[in-house]
Amino acid sequence: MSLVRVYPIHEKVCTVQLEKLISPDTFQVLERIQQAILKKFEKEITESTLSYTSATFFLQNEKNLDEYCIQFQQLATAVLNNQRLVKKNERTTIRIPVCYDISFAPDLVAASDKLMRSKEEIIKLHMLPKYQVYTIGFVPGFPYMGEVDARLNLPRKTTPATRVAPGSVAIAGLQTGIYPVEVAGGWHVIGRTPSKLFDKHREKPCLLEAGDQVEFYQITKEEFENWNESDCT
Amino acid sequence: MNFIKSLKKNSKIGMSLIVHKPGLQSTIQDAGREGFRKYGVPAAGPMDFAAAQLSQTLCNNYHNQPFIELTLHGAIFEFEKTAVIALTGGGATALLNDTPLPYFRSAVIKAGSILKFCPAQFGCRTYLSVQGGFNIPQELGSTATYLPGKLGGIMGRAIKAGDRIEFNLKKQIEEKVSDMEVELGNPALFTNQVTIRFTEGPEWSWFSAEEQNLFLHTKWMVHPQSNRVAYLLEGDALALTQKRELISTAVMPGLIQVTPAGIPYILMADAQTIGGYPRLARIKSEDRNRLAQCRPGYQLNFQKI
Repeated sequence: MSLVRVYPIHEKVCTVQLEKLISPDTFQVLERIQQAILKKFEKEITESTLSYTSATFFLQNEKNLDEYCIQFQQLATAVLNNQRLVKKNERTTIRIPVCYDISFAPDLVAASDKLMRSKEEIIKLHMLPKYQVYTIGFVPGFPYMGEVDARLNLPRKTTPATRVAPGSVAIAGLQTGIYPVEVAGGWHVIGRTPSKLFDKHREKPCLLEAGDQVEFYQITKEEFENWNESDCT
Repeated sequence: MNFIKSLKKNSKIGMSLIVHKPGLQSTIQDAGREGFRKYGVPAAGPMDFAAAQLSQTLCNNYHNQPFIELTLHGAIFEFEKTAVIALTGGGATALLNDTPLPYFRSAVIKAGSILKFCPAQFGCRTYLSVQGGFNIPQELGSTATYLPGKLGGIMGRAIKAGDRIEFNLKKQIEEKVSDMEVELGNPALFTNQVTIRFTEGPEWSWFSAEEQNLFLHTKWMVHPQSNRVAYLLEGDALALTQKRELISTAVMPGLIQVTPAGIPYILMADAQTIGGYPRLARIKSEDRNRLAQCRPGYQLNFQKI
């Protein structure tokens, strides 16, 4: 089976899909494929997105979509065959404050019971890794990040919570994410950040983007309540 | 007295459409929001692109000027100032000061007129353009309302009673822009049984030949919970042969995804930018206009192209 598949998802849009497992290495290859395609088709592509193992390209017009697919496939294959020669991509690391106080963490006690680990242990394990942002979606500004320590692996809730507060930091499976707006959600909320993930009035509306790395650090409830975003950015 | 009246007429305050009743769901839209998908922001924009563009053309507007999308009937609007408007699409019959106002034509609306949307037999969405466009600030490069993200339009929400929506009045009102009767091509405006054309989606082969046939031969019903995000289909559940997990990837309006419970749903204008359910089919973009005019209870059948 080929390692890369290219297919249309709309008359003007096609996706390059790597048939590989989710990992920072796969993501790095994906970014390189995206760069190669954007470089060659700069004028024809209006928008491009990344998600875990796939890159998607939005074309100016719908003529010759099949031809684009073939050319994208060739470029992607060339990048795949040429991996050893390049250095690691540079990453932006963004540190995000999280208050794990029980009043902001409606699911922490239940998670502690299910995982048979203390709350402190869950918090420590959650802060341990440097996470990779694999995509932004679900609602504007929601980052999908991995990988969460396997000891915190919990399936999604069978019945989603009808209201999750903005800023809620949550886990599901080997992923962690942050809810930018109040919305229904099925992940386990274990803390809250005072950082604004999405602000339509900011020049860069979204705090994170696919490819960034994230580190969480703990703040107290007092610090959360007196948080001033401008102090730290 | 006349002097005072004419002063008032020309004052800037009186250049609005006043919302007495918003109807089921009315939103400000334009051609849509591009360039922010990487942040999880979809294009939004009109559900029925063809009808929306036509209403703009009939008003001599650019396609990207703000207009109103109405859902079914119930809206009551008042015009504070004389305006040229055009209605397209369907789902309601319009009364201008209790006299029927035809769709698919431009019309001069006198100051003080009341425009009312009453029930109709077919269709689902009406487009109301006003010459010069509504005066709405852009957010992330567009005025299109994206309800799930609280973006665009009037503070990111649907229109509500009491709103005064200003429009950009042109200096000279151009009388009827176009008198032509426009050919009506959308079957959903005349019948409640609609054919939707599609091609195989990226995960079509994840479904067995039996399931594929079931999809093709079922008379699907539009579920009452259908909205600008997605159209849910009611019929026999489709069983997934392969219990494979799809890694979340880009999705677009027009893709049909199938939930783990086997329920197919068609992504529409406000659909999120990524999804993790298998994409059974991809409908022809033009046929999204047909779907936009299908109301709950309509029967859909799918034809492979």
